[in-house]
Amino acid sequence: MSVRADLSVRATDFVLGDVLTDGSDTRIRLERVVPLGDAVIPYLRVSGSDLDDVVAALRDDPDVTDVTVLDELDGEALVRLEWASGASDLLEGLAESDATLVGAVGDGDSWSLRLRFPDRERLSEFYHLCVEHGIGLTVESVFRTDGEGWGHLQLTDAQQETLRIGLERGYFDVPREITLVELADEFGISDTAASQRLRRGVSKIVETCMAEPGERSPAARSP
Amino acid sequence: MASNGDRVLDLSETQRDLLRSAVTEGYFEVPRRITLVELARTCGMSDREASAQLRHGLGALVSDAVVDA
Repeated sequence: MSVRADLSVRATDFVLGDVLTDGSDTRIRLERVVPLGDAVIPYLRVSGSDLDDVVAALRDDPDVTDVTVLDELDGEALVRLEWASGASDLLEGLAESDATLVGAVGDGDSWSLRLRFPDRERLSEFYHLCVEHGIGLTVESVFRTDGEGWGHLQLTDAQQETLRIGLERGYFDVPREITLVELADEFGISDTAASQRLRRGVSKIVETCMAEPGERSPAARSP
Repeated sequence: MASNGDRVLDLSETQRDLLRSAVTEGYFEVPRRITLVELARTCGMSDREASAQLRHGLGALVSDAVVDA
């Protein structure tokens, strides 16, 4: 059974720390990481008020051997990097642990990473590898994923459908795009019934996602 | 839906703390053990702010559960 983990890591302990912590509004999303021989080739989506400065900083980074700006549009650039081998223990640890990078966003002074591991042992391995290399890692949450969609959350079909439609119609937007009464009408149920479905569904999701690492909840476990 | 897939990563520290308090204080129980106003006070913010932050956080989590459970 694979596990998904949300981790945060200090910007200075991961790649491009200098670029992120220079006080600007730079935001970097790691789109994907392609392993290539000994090297890992990350693709980044960079946004911020001064893209040119960021790209210049990337070129100056001693760990970066090549920078290619593939695309630039509306203050956002898609950048392909080549890293010197050994430049990032964390990225190499990812490759070693057979982890898939689902998403990564860096801004301010930290990176938020979402990773998928084949099993809990690999996650544990990765965690210890980071500790050994002195990488300041915080586990935000861990999910078991059983490949059955919402199965692990144990939501009823009604709760799931109400949440899905609620989300699509903007019930969770600020301001809301649909009222509870309108949402209830879509399902032909009372607003009390709709409210309870939503609240019970939301509560399961939040309790699962927000469990403190180490705290046992039905679907979350610490590494 | 892929555009929503990353939203949980955008959960701010405020939203995370607020959601955790909401769970511990029983805001999601039926019936609720704490009102939004009380929850806002616990977290030291206005109820309008708490309501908006909570909804942003919930939207992110729910969308994440839909997209990538």
